[in-house]
Amino acid sequence: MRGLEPAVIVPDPGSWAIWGVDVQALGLRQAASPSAAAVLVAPGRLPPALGDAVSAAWQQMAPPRRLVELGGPSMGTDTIAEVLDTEARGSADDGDVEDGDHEMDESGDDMDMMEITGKPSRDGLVMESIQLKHGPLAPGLPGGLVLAAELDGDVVCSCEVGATLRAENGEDPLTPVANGSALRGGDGRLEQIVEIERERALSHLVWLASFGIVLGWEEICARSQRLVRSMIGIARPADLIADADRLLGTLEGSRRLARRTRGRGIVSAALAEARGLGGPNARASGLREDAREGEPLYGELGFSMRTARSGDVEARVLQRAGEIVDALRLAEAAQGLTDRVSTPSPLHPEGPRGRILVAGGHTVTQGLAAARSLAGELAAGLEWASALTVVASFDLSPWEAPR
Amino acid sequence: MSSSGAARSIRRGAEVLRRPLSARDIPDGLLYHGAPALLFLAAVLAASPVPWAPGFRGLDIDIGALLFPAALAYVAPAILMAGWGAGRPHSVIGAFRFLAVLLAYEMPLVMAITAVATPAGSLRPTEIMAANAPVPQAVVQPLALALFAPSVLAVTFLPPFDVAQAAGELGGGAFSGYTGLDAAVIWVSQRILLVAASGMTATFFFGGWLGPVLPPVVWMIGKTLGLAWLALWAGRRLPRVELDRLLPFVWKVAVPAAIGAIAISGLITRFFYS
Repeated sequence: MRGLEPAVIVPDPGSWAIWGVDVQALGLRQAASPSAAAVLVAPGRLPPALGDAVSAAWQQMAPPRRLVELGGPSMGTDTIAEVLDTEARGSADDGDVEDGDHEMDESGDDMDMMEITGKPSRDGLVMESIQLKHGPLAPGLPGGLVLAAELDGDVVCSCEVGATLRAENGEDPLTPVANGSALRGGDGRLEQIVEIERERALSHLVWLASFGIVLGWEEICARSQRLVRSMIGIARPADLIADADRLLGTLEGSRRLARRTRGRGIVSAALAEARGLGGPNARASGLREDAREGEPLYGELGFSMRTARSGDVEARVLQRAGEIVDALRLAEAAQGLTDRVSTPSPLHPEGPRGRILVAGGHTVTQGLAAARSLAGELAAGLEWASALTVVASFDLSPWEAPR
Repeated sequence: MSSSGAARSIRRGAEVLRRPLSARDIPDGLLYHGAPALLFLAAVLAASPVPWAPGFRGLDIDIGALLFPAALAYVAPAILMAGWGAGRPHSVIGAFRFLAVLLAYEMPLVMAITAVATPAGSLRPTEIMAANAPVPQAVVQPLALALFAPSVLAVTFLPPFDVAQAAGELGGGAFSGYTGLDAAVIWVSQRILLVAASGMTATFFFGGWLGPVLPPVVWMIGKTLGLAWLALWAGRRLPRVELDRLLPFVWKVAVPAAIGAIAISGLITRFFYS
């Protein structure tokens, strides 16, 4: 990622990749903090939940700075100009725009200041607890996801994971194909399967790249991002299977990964079933939970459910890495048969994060709410870095269906 | 690096320098803005005893091998000043995490230096370097090298020891608010620390400027750059260390091993260097 300009990317680079925009092709990479960024990249309209954070990030960016407004799905009602309260803006086509005069809000900060409470900690000592809000623009996490934690030193006492974005039109913007298929009543055609599996592979790769940022593992981050960039706009998944397989090989049996993730955030099969987990999170705990199981078309394509047993962070990583390869192979197999199959059959989509159900005109990913609450519970008692690793391993969506 | 890449780097560096100092409200400006200066001072002091060539030996004093860790000791307070001065939770946590790393690297670092100084019978860097002939200490005392290399890398707060700034965990951590000249000084200081760490590793374990055919300075620069490249390569290949697993490992394995390295060094000195 050398040679790329640091930027605050709203909501996050992964979301833009899913929407078909390669921010690296624009010469940008995600900055560690707004102070290190020279560019703010955002969609034209923002959800209310991100407005304050974007405004605070803009104020923390020292001039010269510029705004790049990208076309993408409409995420809300507030325009970026209204959020930044400035007329000085341009677009990717217009080039640099000089920053106009602006007032610095001295209190503008999306992070809470330290709060000394003096409550006794677990060992009876009176320690200073820290109220920490991580997100909604934290690197490595999807934009809009917020962790509200209380820390005793650097150990998490309690953690609440919140999805702050609302999908008003009923579709999760991060899984447009699978959600659209569920809403419109999938007819199970092979072309649909190709798109759903491509979306699964892309979603998992985006997650893996973000997880690499959380782990501080540049190699995994870079290799995943290369695959993501290749997937944006590529015609045949077959061109990527070999690279994805090599990535999986690197992770499987990797002592580096095992040292960092094995035994962390364990979710047993019984717990996963009791809490109603779905998708790769459930399969990593050993549950045979997949909407594709039993689907005739998937059977014809050679679908075989992949599961793990340990239910820890390592299992969830390997589960998704394996599903990347599986998804690419399924997409390639389906693409090769599109001219032969003429009889469609019903398709109940398995999205990248779980089975997609339709309720009240909008979609809900099964088990996502359970994963959010479980992630917060498992983070308690861990050192901050480990807690963040556990939370990130669940691949949580920051989008919640309207109530 | 291509000419366009170099031009882009220069332009970006100029942009960073044009930026004003931190835009946000800083609770303790003296600590906050003093931290980069202290870090730079520590880095320059740590680089001072590195002997580059017979005609440019750096600060080649009797206790040069101890001046190196003594200078590095100021890195931790600098990072603590940065984090505490900012007053934000992420910054403070980043600073205190580096203090935990300090506990991990300091003892193995100094003990490993003791191990290589023993055969030389001196703490003068050039005399320790001379003890690398004909066989480098990297071959004679691999345990000491295995302890010294990660310890000295940890001081540079480069990956996989970037726990103080940890983009994915703390959003920049102790250094998250710095802009302009402050940010540039921190960036330069980290690079100087890397050069110092690599240079002293080359001196203590790989014979420094000793080598056939080529001029001594070429050997020294080549070894230093090679070790620096190796450090950066390792940082890309390894995930960030976990403090809750690092500290028990250091106290239960690395420190006893370091004591063992000193004992081994004594035996080696007794039978091969006296």
